[in-house]
Amino acid sequence: MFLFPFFWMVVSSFKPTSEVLAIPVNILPKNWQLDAYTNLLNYSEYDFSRYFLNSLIVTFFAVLLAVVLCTTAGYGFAKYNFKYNNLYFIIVLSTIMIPFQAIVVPLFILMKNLGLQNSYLGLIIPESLTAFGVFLMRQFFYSVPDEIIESARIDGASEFRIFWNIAVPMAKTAIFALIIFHSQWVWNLLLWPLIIISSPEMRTIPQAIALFSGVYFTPYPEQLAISVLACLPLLVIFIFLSKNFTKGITLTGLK
Amino acid sequence: MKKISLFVSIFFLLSNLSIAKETIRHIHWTQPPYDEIIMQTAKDFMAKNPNVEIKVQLVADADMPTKVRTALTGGGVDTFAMPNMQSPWFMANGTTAEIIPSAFGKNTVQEVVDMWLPGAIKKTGGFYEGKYYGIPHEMSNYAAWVNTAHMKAAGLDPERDIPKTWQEFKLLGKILTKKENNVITRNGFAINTKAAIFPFLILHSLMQQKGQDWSSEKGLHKSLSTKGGLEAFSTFTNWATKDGIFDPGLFDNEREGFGNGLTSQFLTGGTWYWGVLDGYSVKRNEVMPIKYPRFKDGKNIGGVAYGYCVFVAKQTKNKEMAWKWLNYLESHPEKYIVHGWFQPRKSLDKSLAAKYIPNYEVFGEEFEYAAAIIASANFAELQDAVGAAVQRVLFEDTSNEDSLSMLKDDVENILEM
Amino acid sequence: MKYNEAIQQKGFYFVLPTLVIYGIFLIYPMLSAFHYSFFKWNMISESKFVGLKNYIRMFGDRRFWNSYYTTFHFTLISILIIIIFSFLLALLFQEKMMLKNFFQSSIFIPVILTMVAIAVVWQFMLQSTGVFSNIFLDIFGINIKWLTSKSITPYSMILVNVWKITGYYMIIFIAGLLNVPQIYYEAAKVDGASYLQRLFFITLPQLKNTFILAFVSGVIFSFAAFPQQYVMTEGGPARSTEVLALLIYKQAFEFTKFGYSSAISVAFFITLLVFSIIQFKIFQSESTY
Repeated sequence: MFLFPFFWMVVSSFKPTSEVLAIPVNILPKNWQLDAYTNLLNYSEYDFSRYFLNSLIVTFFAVLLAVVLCTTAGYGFAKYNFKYNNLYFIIVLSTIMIPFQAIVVPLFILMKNLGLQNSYLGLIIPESLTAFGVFLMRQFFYSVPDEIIESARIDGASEFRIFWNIAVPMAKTAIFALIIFHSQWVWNLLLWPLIIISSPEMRTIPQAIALFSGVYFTPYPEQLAISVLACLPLLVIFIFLSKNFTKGITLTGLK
Repeated sequence: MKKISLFVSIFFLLSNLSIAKETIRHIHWTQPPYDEIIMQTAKDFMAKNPNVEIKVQLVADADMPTKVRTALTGGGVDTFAMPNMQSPWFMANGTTAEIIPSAFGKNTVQEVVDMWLPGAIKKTGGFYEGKYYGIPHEMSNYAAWVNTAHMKAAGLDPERDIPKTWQEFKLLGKILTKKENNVITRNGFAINTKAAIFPFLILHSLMQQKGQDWSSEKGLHKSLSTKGGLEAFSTFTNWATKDGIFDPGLFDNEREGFGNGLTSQFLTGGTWYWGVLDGYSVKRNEVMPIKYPRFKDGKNIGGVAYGYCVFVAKQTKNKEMAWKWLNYLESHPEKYIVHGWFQPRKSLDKSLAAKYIPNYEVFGEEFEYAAAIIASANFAELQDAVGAAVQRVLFEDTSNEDSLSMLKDDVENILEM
Repeated sequence: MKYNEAIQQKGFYFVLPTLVIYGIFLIYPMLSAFHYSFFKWNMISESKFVGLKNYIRMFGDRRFWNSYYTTFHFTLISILIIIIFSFLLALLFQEKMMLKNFFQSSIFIPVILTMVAIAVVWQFMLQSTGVFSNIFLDIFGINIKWLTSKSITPYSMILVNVWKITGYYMIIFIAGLLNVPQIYYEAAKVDGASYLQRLFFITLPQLKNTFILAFVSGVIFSFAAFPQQYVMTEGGPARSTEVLALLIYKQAFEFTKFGYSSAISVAFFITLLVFSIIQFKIFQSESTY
């Protein structure tokens, strides 16, 4: 039942437009055709392979940056007792409650002042922000026994060394979980790229899908075809990491 | 001496090479097949003006105003297209630059205006409070479209039985609506009720036919407390609620629905619809555009006239070059007419219109009587309020009177009366 | 011990990059938006100071309260259904079964699909003659107006929301269940406890924090729901699905009332803040965080 919409989506991408819109609705195509997919290659002003590349680059770096920020911050919040620790954490956590639409315009102006509009960085930095990720990593690091850290300190290791060589490897599975959740979010983001990207070659996949919805005419098979292709990378990541996935959440001590 | 002259000449050479190319960033909406024409025109202009680079950004139609506004905030746009519903906002808020006659090779603004058909710039949204800011890119008007194949199948004669009044329109709709188990499987009429602009545009004509003045904010407000206004409004909503010829849930997009034979009539197609229809299963010889029906005792007003203009942003550094580019962009109406797209430039050979646009005489005649759209910077909110008023009656069982009175409150809020 | 203090202070350096970047790119824009809520600004012209006018207007605005109600309704019902449903699914997947991975993945797939694609697909299914409608007609004999009824469409939105994110929470519960030490169950079985007894006296208490986490994060995310309503209904019919995030967007980008939109954003933020504080208090009293 759950799969049905997805199934319909995949199957319909092989239909000609008239069949997609026909009433009464038929599910399986009468005329299977690959036209939708080949047409995608023929659109001269839409360079889909470039959009895919854009999405890949942005997602990869945004997730990378997110992992770096969340693990360091999570570790710092969990394992140290510096001044105002809790206060800082609450401030970071409160950013989840900010509705994105509210900050789009100020953020855009900020980006413009920094010269980052219409750039990969302009996409990557804001899309790497996830206070939820910080929370997750902090939860996890709480469950790392203090004794291990203490003994490493006694052995003379620097704080960073301890973090990098001991804590992070232990966090592998939690990091995988973070990667899955966050890459899914970044990959499907529509509003922010729409605002900040002005040149066509910088577009990301969700923008490309939305472009298909014309006021006069929507080529549904093509739109569905690209949607199918769009979810393949995420599917791959999910299947690949899902073995480590459930273990990851387990170890964040979410009992 | 030789060294110095060498150095100087190299310096000159380098400084000539380093003259930066002027960039003009243009935002336009995407609509195949016209995208290619625009891109090619840009290339041609760049070939003729090697020191200028035109960067065209194509955006989905619905995103245009937002895209241009954000670009203006960031100083990232020089020229842009805008429909006449949205352009007043841009002109009223001082974001557009006036026409520069010298860029067109003329001496006065009026001479530039005269390069287009009389009244064209006003009807397509390039004129505001006495000044001219835009030149037309498209000018269209709506006609009513009927599926003649459906009529024939119902035993009717497409020549004689074409509806001329709204009463006849409704009756035809009733005959052609198909039902199965009490569920409508083919609409007698359809319109997109999700996007407020479409009911707004149809109501525009109905209201004007009932003697109301929807071309101004005051007129719109006044119409909401008149009998004529109520009649116009009810005629529209009754199609769904009382007459049973329209089920909004059957599909969203009426251009699509008509093209698939799922509705027998619709009221929001211009000359360009011929090109759109070619992408659907219904064939050209199965449909016919006709004059908008009238009220028996109403004014002789047709479907709305609307259009798009192209503008130069006030923040653009080299405005003269920007206007040169726009003039060039708009100098090839013969390329667009082939697909049924009408540009009101005087240089366009009139016979081409008749050649490429079937039933062009319907559109041409109706254009004389077309309703002129309101030029208001508050358009987005007004349109949204009208759409909500329609939705209240269609989906919430509010009465027409109550909905109009709520609309009146909304309009007063918007116009800060 | 001074040495220890110094070490503890070093922890600050781990947190610093995040603080700086979040500060610049999240906190500063939000403060900016807060600032604008006291002005009238259309993004182009000069902004005009209007004091509390936006807030006064907001409190008297029928449309604002409609959005508030719609959002609450959508969020609470969605979350309730999702949490119960995903928990039951997680329980179900504890048993041995064939093709477990396939079923789990298929429930998770909606999570990764793009909103635009989902909107297209569901719209087709929910039209008067769409697949869903046909099935309902066959089984129940009535034609439900999924997307064209003020009373029903909000539930269609909830349906799509449940479909989309149940998989996400199911995974969280599966992980939580895996964390419960088997020993407890063994001991209970030895004592002769039935399945239901084990469920209520071991599983649920052990998972209390998981439930709380799912509830809080679920509420916060669903409260900000936007793409679904934007693409599928644009807030209609008759504003019945116009959630706060959508209203904020419309006021800012369609009506260019950025100041007013910011005021609504502030209300949004404060609502969630209050909610979180309440949750935190309850949370606090029962855990050691």
